[in-house]
Amino acid sequence: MNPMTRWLNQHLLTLQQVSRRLRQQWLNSAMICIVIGLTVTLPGLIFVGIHHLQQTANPFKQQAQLSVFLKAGLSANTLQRLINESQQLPHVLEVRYVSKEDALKQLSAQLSTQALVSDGASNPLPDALYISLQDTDPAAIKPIQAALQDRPEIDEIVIDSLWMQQLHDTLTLVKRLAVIFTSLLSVAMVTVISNTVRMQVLTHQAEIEVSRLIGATHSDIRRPFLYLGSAYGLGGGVIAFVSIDIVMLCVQQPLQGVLRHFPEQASGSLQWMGVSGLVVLVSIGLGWIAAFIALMQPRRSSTPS
Amino acid sequence: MQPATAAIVFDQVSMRYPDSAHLFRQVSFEIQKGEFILVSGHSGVGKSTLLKLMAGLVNPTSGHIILQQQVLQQLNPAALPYLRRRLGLVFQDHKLLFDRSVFDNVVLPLHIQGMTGIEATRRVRTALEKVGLQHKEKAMPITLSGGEQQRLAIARAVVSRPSIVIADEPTAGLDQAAAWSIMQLLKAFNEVGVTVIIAMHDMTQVSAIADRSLHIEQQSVTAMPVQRAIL
Repeated sequence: MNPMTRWLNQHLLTLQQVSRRLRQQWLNSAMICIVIGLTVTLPGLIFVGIHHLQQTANPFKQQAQLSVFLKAGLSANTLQRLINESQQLPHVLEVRYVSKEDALKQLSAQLSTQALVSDGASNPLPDALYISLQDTDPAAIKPIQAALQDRPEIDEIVIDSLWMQQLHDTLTLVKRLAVIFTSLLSVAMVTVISNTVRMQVLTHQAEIEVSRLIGATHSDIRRPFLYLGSAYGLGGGVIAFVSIDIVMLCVQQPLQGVLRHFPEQASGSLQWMGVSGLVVLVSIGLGWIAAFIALMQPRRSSTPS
Repeated sequence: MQPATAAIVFDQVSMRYPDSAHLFRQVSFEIQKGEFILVSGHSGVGKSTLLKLMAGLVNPTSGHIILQQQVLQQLNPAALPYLRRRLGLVFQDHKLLFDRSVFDNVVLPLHIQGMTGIEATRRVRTALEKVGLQHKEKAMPITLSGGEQQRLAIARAVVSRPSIVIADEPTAGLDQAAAWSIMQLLKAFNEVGVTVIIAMHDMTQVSAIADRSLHIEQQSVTAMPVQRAIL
């Protein structure tokens, strides 16, 4: 028998052995997988949520802008000079002028009424410049604000993207907390699987002893338990995958309703399959690590002599 | 250097377990290929330990053991299991797996070696046929008699076609007829070239079968004809 065939056979036999053990103790196995699944679902959902909030926030990040409201009665030359000088400022992508008449028309369109437009004399809106920026970083915005705010033509400057910056900062904090939370849950999951695998090692002590006596290597002894840990991880991961899908399908409709209030590019389709798939892979990996830890106890406990 | 005809060589081997007296002091002997060896001596004299030393299951305090041309003490520990696969071990307490069928017990050494499928099934059935358990391959070991369990242990030991079979008290707890049939079985393996080493305290069963005896007495091992060992 060539070494490759032997190697493949050993792994196939181990898979059969592990699947037999899981079937024999199907209730225990199912319960462990459910515990792992639910443990993984929670951080999975948090990451799906963060992913979508970031997706929602990203278009705003790209559209960071200053609203510069102008004093009334500026001449065309003054206005053009202000626009030109604003375009020369660092980090400025685009300067767009909106007259107070156009602003009123836009407002009327949004409010779906002609009443405001017809009464031109009482237009309360100022002329404005909308300055799009390359960066939402406050350090980049502040110099532009400082350069403009003392100019006599300008009445007021509003940083439109400030709240979005705050959202990004909050998201970064939430993300950090989610990582900590996930790490703690991972430790819990590893402990549960590790303990279960250790119990399995004790249950199969006779088999381990006999196998060693008749020529099983250390790898031969460990392999079924590593596969078992990975199988628990896979089971838990699949349960988490299904749970995340179910939760997302349940909240999909109301969530899309909320996203409709945001710009088109922010309300893209809800996608969580990537995160769910990642959850399965991470779960398998944690299962393997847990089994590895369980098998790290001194070898003498299962050494026949 | 070990002669090509030697299956096992003990060279100045001493052995003592921690916190106990020496079992052996500077013991030297050779077992030739194809021999049927009886390890004899009183209870507690170290017969089982001698067999464990031969199989590399325990390490000597000093000296060298050469098994199939390989010095066990110079062998990489990771290589020892592979060498052990070439031995057939039969234990006094059988060491059967009671949650597995007769077939699954016998196939275990083949699975460890990565052998599956038709070839493994054929070998298991041949081994079971040799020990007379071919009709019980689906039975659980708990349902077998003491003699049958010992036969099952022998089937597991020989299924991977080892060149050396080491059996520790293979007839312990069996009636005379069952014990006799076990000895005949081991003799049959010996006749096809397998080196058989058995440890027994009741030597009358083996007197007509064994070639030589390794008699343990006062921390030494003496090779002698079986009849003399009985006397």
